[in-house]
Amino acid sequence: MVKFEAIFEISIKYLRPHDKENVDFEELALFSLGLDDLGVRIYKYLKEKRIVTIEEILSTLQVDENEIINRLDYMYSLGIIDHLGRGYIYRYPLHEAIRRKVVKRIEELLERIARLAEGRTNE
Amino acid sequence: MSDEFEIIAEWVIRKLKDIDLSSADLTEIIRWVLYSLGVKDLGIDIYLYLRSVGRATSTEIAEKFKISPTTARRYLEQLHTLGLVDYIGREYHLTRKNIASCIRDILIPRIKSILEDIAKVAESVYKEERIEKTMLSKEDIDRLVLAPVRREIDKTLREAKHEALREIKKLFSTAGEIGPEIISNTLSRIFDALSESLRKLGERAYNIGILKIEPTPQVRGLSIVETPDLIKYTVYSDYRLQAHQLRYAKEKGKRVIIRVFGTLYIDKDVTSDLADIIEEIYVYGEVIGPREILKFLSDRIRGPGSVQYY
Repeated sequence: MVKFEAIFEISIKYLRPHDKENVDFEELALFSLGLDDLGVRIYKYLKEKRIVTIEEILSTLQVDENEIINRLDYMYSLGIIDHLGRGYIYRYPLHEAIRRKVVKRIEELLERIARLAEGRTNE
Repeated sequence: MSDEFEIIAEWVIRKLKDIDLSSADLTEIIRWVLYSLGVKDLGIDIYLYLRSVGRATSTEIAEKFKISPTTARRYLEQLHTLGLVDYIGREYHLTRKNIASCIRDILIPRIKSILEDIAKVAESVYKEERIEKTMLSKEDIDRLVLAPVRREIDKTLREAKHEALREIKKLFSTAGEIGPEIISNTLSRIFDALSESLRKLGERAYNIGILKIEPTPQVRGLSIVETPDLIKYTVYSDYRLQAHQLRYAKEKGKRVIIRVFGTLYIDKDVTSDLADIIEEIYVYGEVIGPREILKFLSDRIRGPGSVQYY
């Protein structure tokens, strides 16, 4: 049985569209980064407004506050949005955020795992 | 999402609370590492089993863990996607016993490559959006470019027409003679005004991104048409013909024909050798140039206009 406590979890997917003619490529990229439908809606809203608070998202999307916070925290931890005070900020276009932050963040995470594995598994 | 996209492969990476390395045994560390890489309990057990026996088929693994071969293959596929396990035929084995080197040499490059693919997809969206933003609608083009220029051209033509009528009226009232020079001067004003309006149109179209080539500065009252064997100048107002222009035509083996409605000045540095490529100068207005050159060209100068020497 699992007895480890997870602080953060990232999901990266390699996706294939069912309908190759009508693909929303922005959604394809966001789903590939582990966002769900609500996450994609929040990201698109933030992209349009550039900077938003949770209250503004709440009044527009009308979903549970915790659900919104979970998605924003995921996007922030992944590195595709910024967070300052009460504001969530769309600072870089998605491709730039992936290259500047997401790659680095995941690489650091995996390197940490490798280091721990190395400490005791280098036989 | 499930309606639109099919998951081909998935990686889950977890940041876990550190374990105490001083008290943890090898199995516990491996469990921590594999759970960090998104592998669940049974997947971890299968990995540990493969590690202990060296190699096994999916059927053997299914029997060992009392699961279906399909379920066994699903766990093995996940370990394979992470770069921890490889297979030949139906037999699976660890890619390397050293998990850290699997992560560094296989998993990190694989994830980076997937992320770059995702970035490229996102970049294509970004570029499309930028193009859409910079593209103007037909209505915008009409409002921002065509309508102001139409107004400008109308105004210019109205003014030119009034000025021409004023000049003609003045001439008649003073009983002066209306010669080619007067008509040429009036025409040149209209052509210059039109040329200025068209230049403004080009400049405006360039500034809002409809034209991709920057308009060249206006050359007042002149049109130059170049064909494979000919350069044709049409001079509507004042224009100075220089030696380098004739030298260019000569080097290209092209003949030169000039129509003069305004005033053509031929530069002093034009030699008869260069002037020889001029096939014809048709003068409605006037030509002013060095005596020896104009004499040299006398049988090629035609039309009702006047010829004057420096």
